[in-house]
This record gives sequence, structure tokens and C-alpha cells, in this order.
Amino acid sequence: MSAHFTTRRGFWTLGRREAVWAYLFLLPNIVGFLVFTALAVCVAFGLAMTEWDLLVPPRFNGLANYQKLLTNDPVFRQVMGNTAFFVLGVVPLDVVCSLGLALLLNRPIRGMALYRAVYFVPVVTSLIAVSIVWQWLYHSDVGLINYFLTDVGLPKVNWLGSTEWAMPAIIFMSTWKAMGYYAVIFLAGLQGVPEHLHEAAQIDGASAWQRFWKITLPLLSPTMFFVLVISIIRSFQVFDQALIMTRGGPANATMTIVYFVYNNAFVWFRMGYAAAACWLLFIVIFAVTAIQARLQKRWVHY
Amino acid sequence: MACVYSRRRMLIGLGAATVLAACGQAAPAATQGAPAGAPAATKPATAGGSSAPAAATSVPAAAGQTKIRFVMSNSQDAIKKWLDPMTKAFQEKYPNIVLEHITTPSTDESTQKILAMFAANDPGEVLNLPATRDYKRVAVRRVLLDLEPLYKRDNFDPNVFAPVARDLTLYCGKYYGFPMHLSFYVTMFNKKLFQEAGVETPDQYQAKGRWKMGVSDDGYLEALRKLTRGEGDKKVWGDQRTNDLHVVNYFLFSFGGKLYNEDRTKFLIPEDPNSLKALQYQVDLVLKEKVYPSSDEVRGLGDTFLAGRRAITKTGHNSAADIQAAAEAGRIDPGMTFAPEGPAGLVPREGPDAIAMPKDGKFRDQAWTFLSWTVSKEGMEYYTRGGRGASPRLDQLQDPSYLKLFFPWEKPEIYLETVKKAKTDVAVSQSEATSIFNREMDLAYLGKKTVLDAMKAAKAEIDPLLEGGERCG
Repeated sequence: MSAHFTTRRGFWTLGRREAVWAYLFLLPNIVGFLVFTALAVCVAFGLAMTEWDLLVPPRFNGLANYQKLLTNDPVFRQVMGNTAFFVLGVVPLDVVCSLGLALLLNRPIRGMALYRAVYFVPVVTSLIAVSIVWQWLYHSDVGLINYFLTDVGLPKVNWLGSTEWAMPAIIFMSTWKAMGYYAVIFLAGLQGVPEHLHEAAQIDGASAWQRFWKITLPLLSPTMFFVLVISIIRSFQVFDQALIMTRGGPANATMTIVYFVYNNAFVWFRMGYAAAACWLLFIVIFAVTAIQARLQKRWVHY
Repeated sequence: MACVYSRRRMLIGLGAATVLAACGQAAPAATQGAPAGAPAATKPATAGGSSAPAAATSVPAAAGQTKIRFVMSNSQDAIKKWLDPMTKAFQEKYPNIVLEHITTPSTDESTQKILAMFAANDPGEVLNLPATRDYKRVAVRRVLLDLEPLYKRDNFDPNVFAPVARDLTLYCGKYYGFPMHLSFYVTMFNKKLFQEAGVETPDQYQAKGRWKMGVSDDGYLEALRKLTRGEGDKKVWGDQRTNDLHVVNYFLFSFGGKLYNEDRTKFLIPEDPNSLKALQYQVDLVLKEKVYPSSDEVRGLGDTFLAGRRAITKTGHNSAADIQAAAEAGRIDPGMTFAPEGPAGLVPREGPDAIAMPKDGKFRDQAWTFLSWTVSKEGMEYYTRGGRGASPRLDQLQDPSYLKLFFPWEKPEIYLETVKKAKTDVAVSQSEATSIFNREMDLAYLGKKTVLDAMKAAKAEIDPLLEGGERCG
């Protein structure tokens, strides 16, 4: 009995006991991830090779969904183009505007805490509510934006009703909404830039621009990389604002890939087709992220 | 060996129990005192359903009672005026059947909800389906119950319904549902705006035989030109464009056009000159005449007719309660007459909701009791009294006691004449075809495509959806 007890004590070393504790605490999250993410991803992979409307059992159709998406669906091509346009529009704006905002918010002036809070308000405001407000701001007849445009002698723009302006309108609104979030991240990065480097450069006669370009930006590059990755992934998944502001219109001009997936899955009940579109979206996001990860070695300074 | 419960062991035990509790099932759903055999009053699954929440009344069923669920579109608040008295009357008549309502905010979400409930193998007992768009979409999946054995058993005659409405619920030669109301297509107008513009009202045009469109003596266009005026938030329009195939078909029919071929396997608009002419007429009213607003002008404005900013709306009795409310609020002074005649004469459209039962639903007899009562004269009185549509029963539409339920400014004889002349044409994939049609017409309304090019592009996508037709074989 005594020997057995000793063996058990021997097995339960401090390291093992700590590991068990660690796994116990992690378990709820792991179970959640396995059931709601990993399992769903695996099921979606299988579903993408079926025709399934939820009511009759899935019918295996191999790669037919992918083939149709890539070769025979003009709407899918259009939504991929729209999504790429959104990403290319919103990501640079997100980075530039939020970095500019962070630089402004990093100044030691009175009431800065209030300014920081104010710029963060859009981030915590419901996207649905924001979309409805912006819908009114963009109204061609009674919208505030056109009011100011006509005030300075510019013509009215049919923001949400024209195929040319609808997506840019959503891009501007999305940038405004996300700017505060990325600005906070940049702000954290800026506060990690050692002040003595700026002081030394200043003593050496470096201008403000040179200090920003040669000191701040390189030291901010890990933060910039993080913001770029997150912003690109989030932009590829844009959905709500298009649903609320334009319903994907006019003429699908603001229909995005996630909106396409939503329509196919939950409006037309083509689960297999929607799952295949999801996988294509995943491949695109994965490829873009992998390219970013590879390229970051050239410009990110840790 | 003495069993030692150290603090650490107890903590481990507690931790494990907490994890198991967190990962385990939530508390079981209450059965709310339902008797054995009655359906548990669990909230139906929303798997894969709409983004908008469905609301369910939670009605307890006592011993000896059976609870049936009625799934329908529209929020409970919007249809409360009908739902509450109807439920009360039904329960008094059939005390052993308890009615639970499951509602969704809009028609589109209702069908998503119903299909998701079918997918979860819990479709409810009685379903309200928008016949014009989604009745056949659900029927083609073979999940609805053929009502023939039930209506034959109870000597219920489907021929009491107006043929145009009844035939919409005829799928592959069988009735899987019945029409729940009529959605006539008549002209309702705001006399105030006509008076302000110094224009004769549509009934006056009608009396002179000039309430016509798309002909040389186009009284409709003449009125619209005079009615449309003002700028910015003071702008008033004559009428506005109609989208959606099940509504725009009025224009097609009135111009002698058609949507589909005989077995609804081909989308015919781009090959049919009359259909193209009908669509071009509407596009011209937006782009050339500017007497219909562009979609951007009315974005977010809600119903411009009810707000007193549009002189005409083409609708039916189902809108009458809202119009009456706007009239009582002093925003409008309503009147009505026939829809404008086209070159092919007066051919209004029709498109009622259907009421149906799932093939594998529970409590078939109780569900049928409710369904048949709802479309009975008594049930329809509650429906109409509650501000919903008019009865689809032709005999009731001619019954003076029933006609008293209409508002004083409504003209039942116009409704009756309209429903006799109405046409409809609905394919299995009508909903999806409509979304494609609307998208392409958006381009035509923006002047970026000709109507013909837009419809050719629509056909390329719609025809594959129509393949196989109603798949009756």
C-alpha cells in the first residue's frame, strides 16, 4: 500500500499537476473551440462538396460547387471584385487615418482622455445604428453630406443609389467606425517608443518629419503589421453595413462575399454552395495573410 | 487506508464539476404542464434561420388540451389587432385547442424561419406562407400536407375561394394550402394632393374612361405630371415604381406581356415585346418623366403615401387599415378606384398569402380545425376586422353584412370586379428570380443598361433556376 502511494506521488510531479490545472482551466475554451469552430470548419469542408437545402439529405457533388463558383457564377466574380475593392479602399484609409489620429491623441494636451474616449465612441456603438445614421447622412436630397457639398458649390452625389459611389460611401463609413479601434492600438505602440531616441535625434538636428520617418515609424512597425493583418481580415468579412445601408445594391454594387454566403445559405438554403464560397474566402484570406507574414521580415523591426 | 480529502483534492473536484456543468446541457425546457402526447412548449429552433428574432407567445396548455403552433409573418405588435380577438374567438369555440403564435418581423424572414423549422424537424402545426413568393418554394420540397383527405372528409369546398387566389395554392394538381386573403390591386389615392395640384381624381378620370396608361390618351401619366412637384423634403410624387416580379406583373399583364412560358420553365420577358414595353414605361416614368422617385430619393422615407408625400398607391384592402390610420391622423384623405388600364385592358394582379400544414406536423386534426376555421366566413371576419386582408371567399365578398367591415371610402364593388379580372403567374423559384430581376432593373433605372439588356442578363440567371418547373413527376 505504501509502495503504491509512493508511486502515485511520484507520477503526480509538480509539473504534471500544474499541467492538469492548466488544461482544466483551458478546457471550457478548448471544448468551445473544438465544437463551435474546429468541428464547424470540418463540417463546412464536407458540406462544400454537397448539394444540401437543409430539408433533404445532402447529395455529394464533388467539386461542382467550386467549379461553378470559379467558372460559371458572374455574381460570385462580381462580389469578389467588390470585396477586393472594399479591402483596397478601407485598409489604407484605416491605417493612415488611425495612425494620424493616434499621433494627435499622443500629444500632452489638456482633456486628452476625453478626446480619446470621444474617438472610441464609434467603435463601441452598434454597427446597425451607425449604418442607419450614415444612411441619412448620405441621403441625396436631405443628407448632411450633400448639404455641405452644395454649400461649397459642389454637385450633389447620389451616394448610396449609384453603382459608382455606393461602395466608396460604405468604405468611408467603415473607416470612420473602425478608426478609433486601430488608433488605440497605434497609441499603445507610440507610447512604447522610447522618448530618449526622439530627444537624441532632436539634439542632432532631426526635423519632426525625419524623427517620425526614421524613429517612430520603424519602431511602430510591429504594431503596423498587426493592424494591417487584422484590418485586412476584418475587411474581407464586411457584411453588416452593406446589409443595412444598401442591401447589397444598387445592382449588387455593394454585395460582398460574406453577404453572398449569407444569401446562399440562409435565404436560398444552398448550404453546400455557401460552404464552398466560405472555403474560397478562407483561402484568399489565408493567402493574403501568409504573404503579409512573409513580407513582414523585410519591413517589421522587432 | 484512510481516505483523506485534502483542500487541494476538493478544489480539483469542484473545478472538474464546474467544467462539466459548463460543458453540459442547459436546464431542460419546461413542458408547461402539457399533457402526455401534447407538444412540449419549447421554443422552436432557429437553426440557419433569419438574423431577426422570431417571437413566440408562450401559452400553457392545461390537461386535456392540445397546443398547436401557428407560424406567420409580421410582428405580433403589427397584427395584434387581428391576433388577439381571433385567438380568443377560436379558443372559445374550441376550448381543447390552445393556439400559440410564432411570428417573424417580415415576410422574407418568415419563410426563412419556416424552412429552418422544417430543417430542425419541428415545423409547427399551421403555417402562413406568402403564396406569391414562397408557397411553391416550400411545396416543391415536398414538406407540406396534401389537404384533400381533410377537406373532402369535412365537405369543405375549395371552390368557395376566388379562382385566381385558389389556383395559386394549387400545386401539382393538389391543394397543400388555401388562400388566406385577397390582395387586390386597385388605385388608392390621397384626394388632398389631387386638390392641391388642381388635378381630377383617379375616379373622375375613371368615370371619363381615361384612367389608362401606356396608351395615346395616357390619363395616368397626365395626372402624375401635374401631381409631382416641390423640392427636397417638401417634394411630392404622383406614384412610385413597383419592384418584385409578383407585383410588377400587373404592368406586364396590362401591357399584354408575360413572365414565363406555359410550364414556367423559361423566363420570357426579354423575348416578349409587350413585357419590355411595360418595363420601359416604368423606367421612363423615373428617368424621363421624373414623376416616380428614384430609389435614392425615397430611401429611408418609409411609406411616402402614408406620409402624405405620394398621391397614389396601388394596393388592396390589406393596406386599408394603415391608410385609415393616416387619414385619422389628418395626413391624407383617401379615395379609391380601379388600377389604371393598360393597352391590354384592366388586368390587375393577385397574390394572397396561403395557410398550410406541414406533412409531418403533429396534431393534424387540431391543426386542420384551426386552418379551416381561419378561412371560414367566421375566421375571415376576424381577419378583416383586425385590419388584415379581405376574405378570399367570393360568397363572402358579396355578403352585405361582411362588406360593412370595410372603411367608408373603400368600394367593395371595385374589389369584386378587380378580383374577377386579376391574373397571377408564380414559379417555384419566384423569390430568387425576383432578386435577380430587381438587381438588373436597378441598372435600368440608373440608366446603365437598357431594359432589354437587363432582362437578357436576368434570363441567363433565372432560366437555370426554372429548370424542371414544378417537378410534379
